[in-house]
Amino acid sequence: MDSPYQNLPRRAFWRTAVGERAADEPGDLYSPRWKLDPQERVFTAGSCFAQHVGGALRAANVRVIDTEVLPFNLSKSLKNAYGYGLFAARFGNIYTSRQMLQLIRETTGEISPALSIWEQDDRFFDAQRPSVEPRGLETPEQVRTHREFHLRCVKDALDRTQVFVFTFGLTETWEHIDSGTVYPTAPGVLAGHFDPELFQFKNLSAVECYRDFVAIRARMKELKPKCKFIVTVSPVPLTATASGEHVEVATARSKASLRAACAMLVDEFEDVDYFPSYEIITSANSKGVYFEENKRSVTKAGVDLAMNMFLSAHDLTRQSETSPDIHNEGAEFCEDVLLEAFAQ
Amino acid sequence: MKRILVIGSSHAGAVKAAWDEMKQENSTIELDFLVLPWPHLSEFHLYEDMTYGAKAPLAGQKAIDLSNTINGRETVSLTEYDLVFWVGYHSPVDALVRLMHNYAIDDVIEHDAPQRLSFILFREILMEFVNNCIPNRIWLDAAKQTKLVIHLCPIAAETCLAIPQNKKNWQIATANSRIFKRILELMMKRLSARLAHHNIDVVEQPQETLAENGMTKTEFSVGSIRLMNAEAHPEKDFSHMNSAYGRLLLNALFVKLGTTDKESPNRAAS
Repeated sequence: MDSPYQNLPRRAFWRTAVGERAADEPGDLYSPRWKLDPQERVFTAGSCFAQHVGGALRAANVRVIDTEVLPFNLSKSLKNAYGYGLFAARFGNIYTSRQMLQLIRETTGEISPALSIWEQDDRFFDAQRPSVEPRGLETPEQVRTHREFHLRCVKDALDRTQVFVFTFGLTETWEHIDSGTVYPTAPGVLAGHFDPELFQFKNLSAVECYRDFVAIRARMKELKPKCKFIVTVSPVPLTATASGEHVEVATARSKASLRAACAMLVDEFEDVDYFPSYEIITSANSKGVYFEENKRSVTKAGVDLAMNMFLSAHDLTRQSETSPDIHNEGAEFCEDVLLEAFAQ
Repeated sequence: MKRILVIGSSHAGAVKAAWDEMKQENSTIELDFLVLPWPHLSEFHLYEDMTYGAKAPLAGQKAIDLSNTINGRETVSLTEYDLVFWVGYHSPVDALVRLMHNYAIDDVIEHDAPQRLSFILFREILMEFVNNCIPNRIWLDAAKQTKLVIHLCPIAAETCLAIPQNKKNWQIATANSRIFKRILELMMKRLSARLAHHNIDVVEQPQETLAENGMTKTEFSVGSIRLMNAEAHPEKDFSHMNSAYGRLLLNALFVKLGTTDKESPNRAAS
């Protein structure tokens, strides 16, 4: 009887697919379930690494949704510093599936996040996206006005979405104990202050991430029954962990959970595809060459490798160098980098 | 004799018309013009050796247009002049007006706009608009060697409020004329300071040409003529100014020349 491994391609075997692969050879890691049509409207969101996904798609002239815009002739550095030109709307980095789901539910009026305005030095910040106004706003009323406008833009973006691309970044988050509201940063990092009576650490499990995304998918399907999904896991390790584990162990736990959630989604839904950015960057074949000296930030070469593999697999080519003004995670607009300030 | 070279776009038409009327009164000043209307002006560049003009010989209509400038010359050396007056220089005002039309801005303007800005970001955008008006490196180097004075494109005349496609932008921007004028003042102050840092002087739009709402009074636009052939601009033209405007501009320039003129290094060396 033939072995079930007998006729498998070279990519199925470690020796031929990895062990004997040249160090600079990206490998055949990605075979999309379906090809992205550049005419389809694409919604991008997720962690810092997701900024590169949107940038690469824009560079390939894919119709990336952007509902909050600044005049075209302004510098990308100014736009990016205020959260423009990064995602489908100006929501900043969304590190967890829980926050993504929460944002979608907020646009429909199902929920209203608790303690939504944080104060710092007499300036007021939107707790759900504190980095998009780096110096805050003058009054809480202005924060509310901007939030209402932003939610209309997010809703508009969701209504138009044909392909939903989400980069899972973290499992660790902070939640409001009474309501379950989660935040992109811990209170006290960018603004606000941490009160253990009000907030608690939450480390999402693989199943919770999976369920969050199932709920996200269901809502998107209500809006657009033919909506498709691409999920990926950011290869960037945690800057810090509040789990009590060593940060390297916590990173493995977090990434494994996110990867498992993606696998469950792909197994269950035909319309969900997984892009292996985590595997491309962390491949044993590359021996860490795609990380900067801090062993955390992804190098430009790494980003280019991953994004070019994505575009190529979808028969897309870069027409321009449209991407955020950054090329590595350390220099991106990542709130979690601020946690390093707390390192002893 | 002071020799001034006027460069720029069709906006220099006002200066040319005014100079035709004024030159008899100003025998100690000589003005040469090397101006072309858009889009022909994009053929002109400044080169490292201080030569300004067309890189390659112009042909067709461009050459005909040029024949009305300085005796058909296609290039000049800036070193021949005591002062270079750049008229119709890129202005940040149109970008400001479009911004105010498209965005509600905290503490500045509330209207049914498709986008919203915080005041801090608005301020940063204005600074970028100003920074985008700084000339390129070759011009900055030239300004170290010769006296360079610029005059921005004039603010649109009130005439444009009668033109549907332009009306709304300007109506929104000037709805609170006190704020609009204050913003313009701050932008100009900032731009002047940035340019002064590079040894470039500015002749601002004369105050007497400005209406209460911050736009240019219609009377300074009516009867404006084209650079070439002295043809009148269309009646609804709101961006070009007439000889009365040009006269005020030249007077302001001559005052500046008389009071602040310094021997330019190249002249002193010759």
